[in-house]
Amino acid sequence: MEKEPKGDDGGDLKLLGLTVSPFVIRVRMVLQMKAVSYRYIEQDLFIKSDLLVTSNPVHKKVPVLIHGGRPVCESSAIMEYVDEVWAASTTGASILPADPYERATARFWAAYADSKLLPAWVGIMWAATEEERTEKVDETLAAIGRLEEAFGECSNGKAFFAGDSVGYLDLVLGSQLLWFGVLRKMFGVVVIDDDAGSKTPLLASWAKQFVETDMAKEVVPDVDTAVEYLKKLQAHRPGSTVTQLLS
Amino acid sequence: MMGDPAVKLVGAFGSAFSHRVEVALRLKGVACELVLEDLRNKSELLLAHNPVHKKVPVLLHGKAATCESLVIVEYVDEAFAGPPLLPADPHARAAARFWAHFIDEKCMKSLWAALWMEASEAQRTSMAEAKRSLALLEQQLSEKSRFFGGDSIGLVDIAASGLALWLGVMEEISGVTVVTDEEFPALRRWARRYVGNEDVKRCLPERDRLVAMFSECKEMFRAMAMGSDAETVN
Repeated sequence: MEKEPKGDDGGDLKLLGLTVSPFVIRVRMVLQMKAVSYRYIEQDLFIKSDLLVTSNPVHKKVPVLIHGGRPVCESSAIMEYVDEVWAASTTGASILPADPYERATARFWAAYADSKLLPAWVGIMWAATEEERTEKVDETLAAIGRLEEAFGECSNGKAFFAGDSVGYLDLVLGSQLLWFGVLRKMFGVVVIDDDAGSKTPLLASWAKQFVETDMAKEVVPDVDTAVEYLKKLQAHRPGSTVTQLLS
Repeated sequence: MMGDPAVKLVGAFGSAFSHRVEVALRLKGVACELVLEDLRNKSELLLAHNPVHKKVPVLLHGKAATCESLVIVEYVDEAFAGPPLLPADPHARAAARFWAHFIDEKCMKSLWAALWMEASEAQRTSMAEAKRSLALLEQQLSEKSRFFGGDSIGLVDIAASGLALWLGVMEEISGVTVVTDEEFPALRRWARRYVGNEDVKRCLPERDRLVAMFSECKEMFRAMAMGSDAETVN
């Protein structure tokens, strides 16, 4: 039997996920940054496995990190958990800064990206009418506009929200970039514009740097994989919220 | 201590979210100036420091203006000395964050809908969902520990504080009962312990005043519940 990969403290590590889910992508990127080995188990969210249901009985969602048999649920809680447990890792700096105010700022904007931006672009994909779609596009662009301003304030002229290297907020927003690609390809909607005259020039440059990082290249699938998954969702569950089926 | 920047909490009387921050500060022994907003006429101070959401609470500490109640509570825990609001063990910390998030995302929303939607299939669904969520919280309370956080109040207790006082007030005003001693004995015991705690008592609004204040908002709450997002007023 194949030996289970061990975390630093000897506990075995498994991650239950969905490769195209932003919530999973961000967790995998943290694990990658910390050079932590784990067994990745892709989940079928249409037919949930016993392991998923018993590990996350409250939500039955991915990602779930199982460390030494103990599950950790909720992507934000998992990210902070990994950051704390593998704090001493020499390969990856902490994804959250040391300063409490900077940490609060990162958490605030991450919550914003997940509660305002994400549901808006999901709404574009699931809109039943042109009117609804237009509304969701407007909401998405308004939210990304806020994040463009936030980038200006947080980054201090550096490449990422967190500075010279990728941090918590970069991961939360960066994990959504894959789906911005789907929006462009399938819906002709451009969320982060990298043309001249763009309203989001800072984020355009940030996005380019983000996708070029080693961990993004390792973890993020290509847009076509996400497009195929969306088509599968549209065919099978026309009434469900996409967030339900992205986690 | 001399030289420490002043702490100012921009809140509102009766806001369960403001209370979360107030209690966190009190538990850490941090003196703060409380600025109470009139939410129908929001001040420049509030709008300037929370331009994104325009909501209370906002914590001002030196150059830091922090928004979103649970983000602020973690900030207070990290920025000030005093008894920790989160456990030391990473797994326990992750669990605390999970449950705090659960309370905000699942509990509060379904409770609001159950209390204020008009009697309908949708309201009954919300009620069932609210009770399922509360049952999960009930399970988190063991016979041995006094609070979700163990022997002392922690992040999850603070997140759940709305259930300790505000829920009863809303049940009274709406005429809809969600939590009974029979169905949720542990939660009720926890609620009594929470409101009886010395630190909590000093920042809990008087129940009568809450009833009076929220009674005037009944129609607005009902109208809000009819909309797609059951967001509480803050």
